[in-house]
Amino acid sequence: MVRFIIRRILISFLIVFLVSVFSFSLMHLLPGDPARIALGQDASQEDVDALRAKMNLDKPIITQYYLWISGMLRGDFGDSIVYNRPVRDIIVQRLPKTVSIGVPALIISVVLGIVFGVVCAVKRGKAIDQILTFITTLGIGTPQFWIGILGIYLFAIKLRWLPIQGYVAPSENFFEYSKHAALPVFALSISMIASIARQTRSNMLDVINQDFIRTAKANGVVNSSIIFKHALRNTLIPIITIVAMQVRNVIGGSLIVENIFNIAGIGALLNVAVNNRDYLIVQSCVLIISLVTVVCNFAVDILYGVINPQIRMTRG
Amino acid sequence: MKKKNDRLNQAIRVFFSRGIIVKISFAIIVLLILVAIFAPVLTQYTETEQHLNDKLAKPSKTYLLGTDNLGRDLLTRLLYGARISLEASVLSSLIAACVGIMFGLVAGYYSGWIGSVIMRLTDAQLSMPPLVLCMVLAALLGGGVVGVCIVIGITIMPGYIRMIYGQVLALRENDFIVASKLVGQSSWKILLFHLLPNCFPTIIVMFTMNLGTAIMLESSLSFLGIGIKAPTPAWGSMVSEGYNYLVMRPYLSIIPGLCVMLVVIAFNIVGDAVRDAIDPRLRGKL
Repeated sequence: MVRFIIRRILISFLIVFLVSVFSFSLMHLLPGDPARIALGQDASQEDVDALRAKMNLDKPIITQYYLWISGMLRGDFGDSIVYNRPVRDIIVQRLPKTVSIGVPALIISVVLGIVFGVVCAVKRGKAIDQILTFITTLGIGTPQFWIGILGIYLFAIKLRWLPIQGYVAPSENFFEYSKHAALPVFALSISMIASIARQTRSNMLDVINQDFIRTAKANGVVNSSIIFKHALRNTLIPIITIVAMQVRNVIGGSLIVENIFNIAGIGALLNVAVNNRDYLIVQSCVLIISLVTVVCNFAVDILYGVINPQIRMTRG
Repeated sequence: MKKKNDRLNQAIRVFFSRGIIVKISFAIIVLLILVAIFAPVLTQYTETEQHLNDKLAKPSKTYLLGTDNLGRDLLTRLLYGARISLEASVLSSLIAACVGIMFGLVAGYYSGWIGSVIMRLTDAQLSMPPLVLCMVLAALLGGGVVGVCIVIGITIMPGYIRMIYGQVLALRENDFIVASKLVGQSSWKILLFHLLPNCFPTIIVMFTMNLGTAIMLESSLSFLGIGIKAPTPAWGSMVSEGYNYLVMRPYLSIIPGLCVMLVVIAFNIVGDAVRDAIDPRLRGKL
């Protein structure tokens, strides 16, 4: 087990390292001088050179990478060219907004997704299964931006139940927060609910057809107990993977949702930063995002290993 | 030969046995292809033609679905948008398939350090949300149709690499591969003529299923303004342009979004049907 964990840790580090090299080199391959972009076309060459020196852009590329990554490890992410402030402060300020939309969306998706999936599997082939399966197909194929805009049109413009855009922190006014967050959370969770439901259904069907379920039935175990105690428990392992994968989708979806609902979170920040070649923000965000997913995957792998000894052997 | 025909018939029967929904989806795709080919014949306007006297006109006989903020006919832009969507999805899926299959074959066949390097790079790529990766890559490759296709192709590539890698690992142990090695066949011949054909069913299924994903990514990128640039009529950018006039002319953004949704769902449903027809064992895996 210890060997398994050490191996997973090493692989996780390797992945984060590869991502850091990728995002660093990509941002440095972009055409245009970041210092020139920051100061504008009218700035004098001396000023640009001075800024280049300040941003370490005049040093060899390997040194630049080393300076950036060692800064990241110390918690110093450098200064943004667009906002003229430390990147860390910007991220710390914006992260709560993305989290307060993303986490509720994730929780709702997991709960509803598993419930729908289980219902479909248990009522396999019945009308409710057919309808829910069809709805999940629709959910997976519907673009988030379209759901968001349709939601704004129906609930904010036509019915006037909800505000059109904007964001209020939950700590400030929880009622206003829920009103503002309802549509973004809804837009973000639809496709996640659908994919979790879909996966739960097919995993659950696999389990239900296995011998130990038949034995339990033959022994006269109550139906609900079979589903919740035996079948669902064995289905949970693959579902955990799906949930970990959804963390990635929450971050990806926040790009779209924050754009539509005018929320100044990490997704919106990344959008601005990419368009303005603010390479330190892009690099830091990409690295943090991949760190989050890698940590989630690592946790899932360890959980797997704890639950199922076979995986320890084969995957190690 | 007869046996082969029977299997084909069986496959087609299963394809349509899902009933009316699959047929409708199939019809939507056929319609998309026809519209993409015949767009110039179907409308009297061109996609960038501006009628500045008729900005934001309501639907009428002259403009069947009205015009946008620059006086461009919405229907015309939708028709030409079908072209962009189809081009983007097919081209990017082809890029993903070709490159992904190559890497997957190599990684699975030489599973030593080459395999590890390829698979770890794939893991690294999968640790980034697809849309974030697309965005960063799009900044580098620019906003043309080809640039966007390369970006999306790279983004959906890991799916192919993982799938082919797994298949090759399993196939490699078969007697016919060992036999071809023993008679001294070169590695690349084994890869191309023995391993690759055995992966074809999976590849066809993955390809069909990816067409929808590619359209979704393309329209999301265009919606964010980093995909295909104006004035090219991409459905995603039409949604975001129309979004500014949501109160006055809601259909300007809702109709293009509806097109994206219908086409993506149609591709997904047909993809599922193709999977069940070709290889039902893949259900739940793909």
